[in-house]
Amino acid sequence: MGLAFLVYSLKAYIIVISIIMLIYSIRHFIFSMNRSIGEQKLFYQDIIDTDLPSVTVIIPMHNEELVAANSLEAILNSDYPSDKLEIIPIEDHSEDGTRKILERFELIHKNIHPFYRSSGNRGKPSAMNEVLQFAQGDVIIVFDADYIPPRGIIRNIAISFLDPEVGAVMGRVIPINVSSNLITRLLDLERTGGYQIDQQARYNLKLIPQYGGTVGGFRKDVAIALGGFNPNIITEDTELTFKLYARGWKVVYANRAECYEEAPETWAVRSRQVTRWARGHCQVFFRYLFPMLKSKYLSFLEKFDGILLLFIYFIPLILLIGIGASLTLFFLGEMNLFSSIFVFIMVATYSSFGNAAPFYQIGVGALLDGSHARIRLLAMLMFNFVYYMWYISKGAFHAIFDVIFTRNPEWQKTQRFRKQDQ
Amino acid sequence: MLTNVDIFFGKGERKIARKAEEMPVKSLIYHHRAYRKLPKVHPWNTALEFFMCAVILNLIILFIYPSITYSISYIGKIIFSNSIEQYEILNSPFILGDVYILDIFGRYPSLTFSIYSALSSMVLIILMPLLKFINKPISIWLTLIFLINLISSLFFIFFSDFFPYSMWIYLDLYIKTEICIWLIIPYLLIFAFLPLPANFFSKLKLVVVSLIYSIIFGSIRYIVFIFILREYSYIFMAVVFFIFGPFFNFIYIISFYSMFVSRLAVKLKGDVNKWGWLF
Repeated sequence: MGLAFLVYSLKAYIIVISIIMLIYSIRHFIFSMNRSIGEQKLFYQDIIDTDLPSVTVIIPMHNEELVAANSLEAILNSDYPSDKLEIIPIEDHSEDGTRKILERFELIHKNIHPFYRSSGNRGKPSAMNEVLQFAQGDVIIVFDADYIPPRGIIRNIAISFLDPEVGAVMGRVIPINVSSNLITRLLDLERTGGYQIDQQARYNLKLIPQYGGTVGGFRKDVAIALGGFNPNIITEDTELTFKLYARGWKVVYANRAECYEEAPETWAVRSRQVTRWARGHCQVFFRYLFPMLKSKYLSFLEKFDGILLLFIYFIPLILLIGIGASLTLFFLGEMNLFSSIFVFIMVATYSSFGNAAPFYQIGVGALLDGSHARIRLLAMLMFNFVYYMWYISKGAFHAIFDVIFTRNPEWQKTQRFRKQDQ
Repeated sequence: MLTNVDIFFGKGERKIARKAEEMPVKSLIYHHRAYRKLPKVHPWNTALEFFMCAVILNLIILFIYPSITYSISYIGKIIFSNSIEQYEILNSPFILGDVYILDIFGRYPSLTFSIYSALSSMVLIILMPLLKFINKPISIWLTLIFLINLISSLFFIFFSDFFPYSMWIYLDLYIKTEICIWLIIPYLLIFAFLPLPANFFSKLKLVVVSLIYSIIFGSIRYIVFIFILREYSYIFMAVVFFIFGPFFNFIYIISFYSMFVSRLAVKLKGDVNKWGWLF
């Protein structure tokens, strides 16, 4: 009796996962079709207006001596009117030469106002909360320290805030070190699927494009009114996205606003990064799922997409349990045709889990980008499937334990790889 | 003196940027890739066209799978039969016809072999994170293989009498799963190809090539699996099924897809008129 119940439960679990996977597969197929041949929603970048909002560019830094000067130089090279541009690099508990670099820039450039932090909680959310109190710009634009913003990007991002409905804007992230090694090439493929297709399609279809915490901006007064950033949530970007949507603000995606980042060059760094993303994303799931569902400002489709977006980092965990269920059924002699095909379908639909993009989405994205050589690496993402399944599940588990034991995670910085002489 | 190029770009990028600086000035600069779209296809017509093709391919597979399974089993019979052991080919009903399976025996592992297998799997699981020269995705992949093998070994140590499969049941499940995957492949690839601006016949050609490859590779694996389970025991059945079974089909399906998209990207690269633009 007990064994029969177990078998039925495991089979039911596998059916449920298969249905969930099917829903995600259809969702991403619609995204791929929409981005490749559907009507595209234009961003605001081609609007010319002299009445630009005042902008504060924030660059959080913790031990960033390898990259700090590069990003500051790039922002100083911006075409944004200097009288409307304030730059605040946040030196957050650094132990290397970051402070000296910032002091040097502060001496030369009058609109650079570094903020030095050596007490209080370390981490981006806490640092941002403090800066929001004295930043002079109406719009806050954030770049991570390893980013090389192109000349026109601040204008491209800031212009969209002339639309009173817009609460936040997200630009496109492109790895600058693509040719470094296999990892960076594979990450570039994932980013292509995630930005060129996923974000643009969600923007086109009036769903939930996501603010990504860097190469993006938000309204300062709105962020303050929403209570700033929760220092215990390690993906403050996802938190802000759902806070904004729940209160009726829109997040828009600027595919043209491309910015170069340094992608992780080792698997160890990538695993820490993806574990952190998963943990933070799942934290947001627990805190903002119901506020989002209860929001009167969101349509049914937005809510549905919001659920799928919030749940995405739980998928590897439920697949991992699915493998366990399949193994159990196998040894119980209950491995039937359906269960065995499930193993194939599971991989076929979600082969590459970095950005939760299936192979056809990445293929179309790479085609639009014209990356003809890198597309050939697509099959290698299959090996990442198990890797991501492990690390994302680890992050999801952490988030679950954070809720159960009311733990507060510590902020972890992503290691940089830029050479000293570059 | 350092230029902007030197400041902002790394070694590889600096080389590319310098190369770009040396390039002749373009007479016309096209729109950015953000404004790029693929040329309009008529999705419903194309979907219908492809659906018909998938149905025809499915009908062909349904028509020929009894012959394919018989041929594979016959090859297996030739390879594994000898003067002492002669194996039969038995039929098992499936969808519209029968599948043919070699009625062959595998080997049950001895207790000693199961213990050795469990211990070696355990050691390898512990060692994997320490072997820094193996990159993480491969290391985790191997750990999963050893973990499945460990579970299988423990099963044979403690519950060997309850092992629920014979070679025949296993081969029956394997071959039926493969047939289902052959039936799924046309739909999977056809839908993946749907938005791509390529000739219908070139897409169809790739679907057919993938199918042929899948049938050949699936057959080779059938023989290899029999060899492993017969020579090295049922202990490896779980690994063989979960890692090198249906899971494995995905690699070459995606490889074929990626080669196709790569060639298409090269074709589209030089011809701006082939793109759809937002403006």
